[in-house]
Amino acid sequence: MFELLFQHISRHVLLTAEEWEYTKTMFVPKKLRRRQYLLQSGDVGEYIAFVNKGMLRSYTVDEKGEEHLVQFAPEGWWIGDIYSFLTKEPALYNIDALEEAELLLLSQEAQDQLFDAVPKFERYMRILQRNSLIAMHRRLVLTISMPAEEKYQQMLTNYPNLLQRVPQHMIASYLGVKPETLSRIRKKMAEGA
Amino acid sequence: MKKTIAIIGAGEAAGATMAQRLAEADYPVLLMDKDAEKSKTLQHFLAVAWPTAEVDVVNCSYECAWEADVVVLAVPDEELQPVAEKIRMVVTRKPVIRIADSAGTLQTLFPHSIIVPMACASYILNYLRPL
Repeated sequence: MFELLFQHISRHVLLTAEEWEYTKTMFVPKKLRRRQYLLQSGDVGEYIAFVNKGMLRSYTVDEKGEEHLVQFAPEGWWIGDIYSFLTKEPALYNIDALEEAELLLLSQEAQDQLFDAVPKFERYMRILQRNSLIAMHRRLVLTISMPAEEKYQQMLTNYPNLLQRVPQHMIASYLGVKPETLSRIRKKMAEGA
Repeated sequence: MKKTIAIIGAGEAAGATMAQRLAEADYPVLLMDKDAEKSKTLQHFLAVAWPTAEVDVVNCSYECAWEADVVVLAVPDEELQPVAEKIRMVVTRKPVIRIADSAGTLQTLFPHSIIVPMACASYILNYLRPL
């Protein structure tokens, strides 16, 4: 249940056996069925989640009822509505499971407790936030100024097995293009290869 | 978000009553009993009484507790220890609530007294109310 999280943490900081034992007691183990919500927009995002198995996504829904995908979270990724998690304001995102999922949830209270008891965990979180900030800026630049082909390529680098696991219309939504545009890009790339 | 509640020992009277109250209040409920037939019958009953309620049967206490946000233990006293051993790993930081069908036992012990059942269902519903 905890192997993947331990690996992930160990890539950034080295915890002692004692620290790790304590860390494990701070997470809520949770299972989601396919299409089940972790969070619905308007509710307060009580937790951030580490995905141990399966895949989640976060998305917004516009006035026309159309979904806009913000993030995919396969195994080994963290996901949450950070804004709501930190401010306790209603969440902007919906987060649900695209596949049956096993999660480890961390509440803000548990996180604070963990930061106090295991300062290395705070360092780990800081590194994650730094990486997330970099990734977000890259995604922003790609979205506002790069051609769809570039966005698609970047997405394949970030999520290597995504195409096998996620329907086309969600990928198009993540890239902010029409499904037709996505098929055109894929066709062009297939011909070029 | 409504919390999902696991009732382990749903076939016991206290567990079944709890399940009814929660289904009525529209909480997603997971039923588990070592007698799978009992939880199935209860699920069927709840589906008829409250068609919109989300009630599922999970035939393993470990899986059931893992999926839930809150765990209600309605098993008899003698089963408490083995169930606890089984689910301990997956209930970290989750509320675990013990209810038992003690009213019947108490009535046997005090045949000429009025036994007042603890209003556990309303207590739990109150606890689950969003902040």
